[in-house]
Amino acid sequence: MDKLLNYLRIKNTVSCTTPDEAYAKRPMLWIYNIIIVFAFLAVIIYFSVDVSFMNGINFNGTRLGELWKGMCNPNWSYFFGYGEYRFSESVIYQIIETFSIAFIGTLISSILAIPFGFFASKRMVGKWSVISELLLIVIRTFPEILFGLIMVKVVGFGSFAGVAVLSVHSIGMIGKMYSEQLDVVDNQPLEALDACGASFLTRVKLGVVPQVAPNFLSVILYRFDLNVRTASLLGLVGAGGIGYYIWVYSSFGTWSMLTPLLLGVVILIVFVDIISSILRKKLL
Amino acid sequence: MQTKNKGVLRRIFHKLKYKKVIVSLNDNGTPSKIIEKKRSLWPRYFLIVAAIFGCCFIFVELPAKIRFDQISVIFGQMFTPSEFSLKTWDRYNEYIFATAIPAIWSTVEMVFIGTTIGTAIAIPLFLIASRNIVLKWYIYQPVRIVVDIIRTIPTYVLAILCTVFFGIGNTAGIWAIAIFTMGIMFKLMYEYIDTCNMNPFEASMSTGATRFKAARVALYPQVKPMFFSNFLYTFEINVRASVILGFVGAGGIGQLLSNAMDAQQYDKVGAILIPLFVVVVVLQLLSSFLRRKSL
Repeated sequence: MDKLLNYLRIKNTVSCTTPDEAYAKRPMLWIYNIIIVFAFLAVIIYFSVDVSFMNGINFNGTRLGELWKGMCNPNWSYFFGYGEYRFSESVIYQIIETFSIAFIGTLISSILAIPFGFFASKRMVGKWSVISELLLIVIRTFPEILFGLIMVKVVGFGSFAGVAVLSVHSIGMIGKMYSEQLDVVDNQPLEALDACGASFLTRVKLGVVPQVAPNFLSVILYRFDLNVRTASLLGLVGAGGIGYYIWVYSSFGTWSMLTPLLLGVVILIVFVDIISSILRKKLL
Repeated sequence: MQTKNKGVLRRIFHKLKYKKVIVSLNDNGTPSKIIEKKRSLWPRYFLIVAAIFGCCFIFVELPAKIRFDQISVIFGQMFTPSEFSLKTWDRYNEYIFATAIPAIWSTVEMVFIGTTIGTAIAIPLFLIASRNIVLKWYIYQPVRIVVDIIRTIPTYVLAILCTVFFGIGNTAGIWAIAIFTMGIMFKLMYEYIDTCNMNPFEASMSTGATRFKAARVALYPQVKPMFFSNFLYTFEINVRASVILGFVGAGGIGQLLSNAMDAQQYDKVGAILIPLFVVVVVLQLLSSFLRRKSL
């Protein structure tokens, strides 16, 4: 019994004299790993049964064949907007529209988030920061697609609904990041400015802004990167952008039209990803 | 002025780039020394951003009218039982406990399975893609490019494609989450392994260990806490992202939400939102606590 307890490192009862003896009687910690792995597997299997994972799957051959055929023959005139499609119906136009929604939304929310971030930082407002922090958590946790549905009711179908959603929903994350940056502002420049007799605005301009501006901008760029994805998603509920057409053509099963759209989304996201990572590297 | 004879455009650009600053004055008040100083770049960046902002409005049409009263109407209907769907408070509470919470629990289960499968797929991929385990660029570079392209596909597109493969239901959602997780885990992990400290690895190689043994002894302890932390982080992201899946028919809580929204039953939406909010916040707190512990 003592030996078992020693092996499981519950109780150190075995005394050893030589290193070889100690090595022979070392605790067998792999037993714990095995127990953890089996518990994990049991949980996974239980969950799989509970949500009927891979239950009653029948691969629909004809539908997959259609998908493959459509994927191999994308409709290029739809992508570039020539021939039977006008430019304002093309995928390129949709890409630019999605980009615009994300850009305007991010810019507006980065300005709106400044007061939220200020009131959420403990450094600036003391213990009352909790209220603003909670508000930011609520905004962040609210699913954006539901917000899109509500905004469509408020401002009507179209791309402005997407702008409204992004400019409100992004406040949650940007405001939190702002408050984190404001919490770690170095006090010494502010003290020096105080000693010179600077006014409040001068203190903000010379003491706070130079310290936080690069970080703020990198946060905004990162959020812009995420917002492009969200903007492409919001079309599902009719709030503008490329997602609406993806939803329409996927529900009709018109795969030759869907392929250019998917290509467009991937190109847009990769493009914005690269631009934002280059700019962020330059900033920091 | 060096740029005097170099054309008008050059001179304009030079004036845009530099400004004249008076350094000292004579006794009679005329400047004695003038130097050229580079202008601040901020006004220019501001102009560029403003120009893009303006151009964006070509593509975004402004609404005819904004009905702000709708916001309060919808939010008011969310948290009181309406006469068209759930007539009484009892049925509102019953809907929360009998319909919404089990659906959210099954969504969490789906996300857990999906995250686990995705992580399991990602493990060999990020091991192949890390620069200091596999030394050959022609092995790790193609893997990185392929998975990075898969990573850019948004979750809802993956869910749509998965519903084509597996049919409408939970399975499609789980696979969508798995592929999505694979991308995130892959990126986070190979970037972390690239920056690992390789000195212990070399030390154990010099004692005669094979590459595998050296990795087991020197790299595994460095990578393990980060791996669990990233697993929890991805789980947390996926719980939030899983709402979307139901809107394209891939199961989960979004199915209930989109049904209730289509039928304009906002009280059901509110009854789903309250427990969803609680679950998301609790999971977030739990995961940040566990992550702080594991790191």
